Amino acid sequence: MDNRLKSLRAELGWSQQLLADKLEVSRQSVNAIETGRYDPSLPLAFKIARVFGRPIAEIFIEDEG
Amino acid sequence: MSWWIGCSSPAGKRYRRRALIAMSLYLVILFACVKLVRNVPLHGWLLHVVALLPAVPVLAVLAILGRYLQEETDEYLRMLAMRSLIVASGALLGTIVVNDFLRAIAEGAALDPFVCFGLFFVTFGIAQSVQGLASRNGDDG
Repeated sequence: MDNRLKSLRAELGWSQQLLADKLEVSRQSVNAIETGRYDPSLPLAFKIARVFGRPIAEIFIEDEG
Repeated sequence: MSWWIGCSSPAGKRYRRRALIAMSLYLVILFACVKLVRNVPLHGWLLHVVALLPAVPVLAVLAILGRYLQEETDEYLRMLAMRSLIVASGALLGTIVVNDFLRAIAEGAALDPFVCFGLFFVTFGIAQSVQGLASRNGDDG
């Protein structure tokens, strides 16, 4: 699954650590999600959406095919 | 080393502290038991108890690892630890199966004492390190 985490974070000028603190996860988790190495669980995806104030579908994009 | 269990989350820090205590106890108990067996003639059940004592803190480390998995709220770190455990368990079981067949069919020698224990923890550490290095891509510091 692709996501816009990095660009949304950049728009707000947030570091990975700041986003990690807001999500109450490690910076490694944020990095892994941004780089597509890890797809978050549904609860964490909802939390990410809440932190950015956007719907999940605007942040996470399903891969084609 | 920030990917290593014990560096990134409160649960990891608790794991590290508990594991350090258990491993320190292991060294003390092992030293005491070896000293005792060498200097005091022990027989029967007492010898068995002394022989088994060093295993207690090692088993405790496994229990501490299990507790870490229960307490870790960061799902990504939990997944990394689970992966490492699977790699270590696979290496351990694979080695035991290969050795079992060699012993059963080709009269091969049994594994030396503590090989399994060492193999499990070394493989676990390598798996953690490899995953940690791989996860540094895209790190913004």
